[in-house]
Amino acid sequence: MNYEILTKPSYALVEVALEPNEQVVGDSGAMTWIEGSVETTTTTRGGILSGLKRKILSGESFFQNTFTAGASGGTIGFAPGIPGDIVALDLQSELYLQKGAYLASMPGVKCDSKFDGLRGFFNEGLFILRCTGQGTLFFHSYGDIQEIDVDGEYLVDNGYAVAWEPSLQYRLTRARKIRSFLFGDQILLRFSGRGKLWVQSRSPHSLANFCHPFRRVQSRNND
Amino acid sequence: MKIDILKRGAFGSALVHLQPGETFISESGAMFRASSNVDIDVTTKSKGKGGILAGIKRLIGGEHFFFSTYRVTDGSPGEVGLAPTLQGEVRVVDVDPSISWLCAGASYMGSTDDLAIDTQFQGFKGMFSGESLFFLKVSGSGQLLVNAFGRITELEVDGQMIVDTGHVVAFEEALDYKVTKAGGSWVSSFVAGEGLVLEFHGRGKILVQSHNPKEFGKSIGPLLPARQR
Repeated sequence: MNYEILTKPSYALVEVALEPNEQVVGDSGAMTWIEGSVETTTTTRGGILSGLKRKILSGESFFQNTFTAGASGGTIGFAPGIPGDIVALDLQSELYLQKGAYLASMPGVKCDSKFDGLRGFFNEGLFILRCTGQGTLFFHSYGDIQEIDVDGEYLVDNGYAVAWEPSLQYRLTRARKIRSFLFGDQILLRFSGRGKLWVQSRSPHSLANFCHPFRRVQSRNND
Repeated sequence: MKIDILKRGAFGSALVHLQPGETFISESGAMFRASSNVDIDVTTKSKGKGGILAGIKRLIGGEHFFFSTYRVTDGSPGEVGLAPTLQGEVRVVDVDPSISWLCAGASYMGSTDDLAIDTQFQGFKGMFSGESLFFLKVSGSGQLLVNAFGRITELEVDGQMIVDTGHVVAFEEALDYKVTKAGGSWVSSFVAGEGLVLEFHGRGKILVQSHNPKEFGKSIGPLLPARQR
């Protein structure tokens, strides 16, 4: 399997070229174009329970599409729903992804949701995605993706972590001073250990907060 | 203090490298990554000026009450990454004592702590039009970080220039400016949707952003479910 990430970094899209009979898995809705003889099968990958867990718990898709190339091979383009960068990672064993960051992968990579502890309540959700297996994994961000080699500790604002290696642990923290917690309103993730961490340079939540005041106002009495 | 601008397409951000003893100030909430030896605190004041009153002035202007401050605690270098909300460019403006800069409230992202920051209102015209019109006056010697919605164009004024208030990022104080209406009369100006403009006279630089955040909000907002009052 060959791939090329096009139109980096703001509006990245990955084009995967399949040899005859090769397969690639894409998140539902991620497929942009298909060229050549490629058969698409839509499954829950790992059974209904696994699909439900992905959908309900981690906010990913219930269905994932498996694309199988015919005798003459084919190419498929995958694009995320939100503009940003794509990282192609040669997965060796395991990686954690934030909700919604999964784009596509080789069939050897399995995605499952993982209970993230109650700290997830303050973060993006109670569950994160756990990708296991071997093969190329594509994940995406809102905005630029920055790779950080953590050795010791590193702070990331809530909502900006995209992916991290399982050798890293994280806990919720706040800026050191109590008054910055009271007035500054910033919950941080403190990663510790040794491994790679990927952060994005924009937050979809902040964008939603920006748009919020521009919504129409409906009076409660007139409905 | 070294500031790297990570110019990555439409989504610029800044990485500020802190040495022991150095302090960087930012708009509250702009930090998205930091090394663990960075102490994050809040303050209402910049160098020399401020206190509670300055915080209240900023609040009225539609900005945050507090600034965030960053310094390293353990004697080794550290780093702080700052990013704005909307997509667009981030830029460093070198401020020197001979020329102060005026920066639109929403475009201010951060500054070195040797710069003084003061809030300046543009009077009631701004409040009347619903555009919160106020500027941060940045003076002294240091580096100012601004963010823009879209790309930044640097305009050199020599004579007269008119810029829509929603597109102004920052400008040199050497320029004379006044807030005025775009059209012939106040009524026609508001009907035309142009609202207020800034009229500049003299010589100096203006940084202009390609997009107006308020116009973006107005195109997205009506598509979202109404909020209950």
